[in-house]
Amino acid sequence: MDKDQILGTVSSIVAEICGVEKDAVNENSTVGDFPAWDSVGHLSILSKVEETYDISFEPEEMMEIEDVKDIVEAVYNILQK
Amino acid sequence: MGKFRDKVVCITGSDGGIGRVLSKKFAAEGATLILTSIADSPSFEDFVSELKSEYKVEVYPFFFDLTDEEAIKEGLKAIKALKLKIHVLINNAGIPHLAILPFTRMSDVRKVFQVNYFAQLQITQSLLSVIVKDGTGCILNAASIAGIDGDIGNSVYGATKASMILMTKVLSKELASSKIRVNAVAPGLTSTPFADAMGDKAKASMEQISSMGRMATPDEIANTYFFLASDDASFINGQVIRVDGGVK
Repeated sequence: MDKDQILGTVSSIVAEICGVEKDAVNENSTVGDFPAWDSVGHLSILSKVEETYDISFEPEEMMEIEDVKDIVEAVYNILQK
Repeated sequence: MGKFRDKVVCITGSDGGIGRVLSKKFAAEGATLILTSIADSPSFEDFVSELKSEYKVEVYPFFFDLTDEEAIKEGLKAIKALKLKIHVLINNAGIPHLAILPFTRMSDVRKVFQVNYFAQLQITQSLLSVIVKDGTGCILNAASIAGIDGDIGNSVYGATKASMILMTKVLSKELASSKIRVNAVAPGLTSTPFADAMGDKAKASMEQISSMGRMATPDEIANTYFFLASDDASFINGQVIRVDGGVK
């Protein structure tokens, strides 16, 4: 799976949880960009990403994730292992 | 139909006096249980089998030592691998400590803080993503009146419980945009092996300061957790509930 595919899926997840159009989400979208992307929204997004890819982020990895780009990178790295 | 049918309840320190009563109470109401304890034992295995056969519920036991950060991490990984949404997390595990400051070893201070606070924080942080999954749930923390009253000999244990109280209040605000409630239970001395570990002198002095002249029973404490975990407490958030029978 390449990063563009992951970006598409992650953007859909962010859009769904934040209640915005997918077009409004890009790789630079970050915590606070949408009202629903607060600390709880952030956890919900990461939880849904974990479920979608059947992976589990380490707490340390979670702390490094701030925007869509970070999520894509983290997913990609885990899937490469 | 149990009140907690289709709900998953995770209880740390589940092999202790209050932990076992809590496990039974939630099992009786149909909850799926994730139980953690420091180590397996024939007695705990019998307890788990009893819960499964008597209440026909799923029980998933996990064993890890709360003094070991890496062991906690591995244990949490295994819990998350169950892929279950956790509805109720009860941070119940803890170890006692009672000594006036000149007789307090720094190694004990570190150990008590590790088990009673740092481990609870690590567990809560790691499980947050599975608690927030569908936007409902609650976190209940084991505090103590020792963390509020500041009695002699409690500079360490009391400080760990005061930390749990603060974590409760902060987390209740941080999770405010969700429907996740965070509360704490602050028992007085309770009739459990934990109290026995405090020694007869401590038990006698606690009974003396109790308005009702006795220790709490584990059931009386578990009832409060159970209420706070239920929908009956749907508007109680960020609170610390004393269960001490009144103090003179």
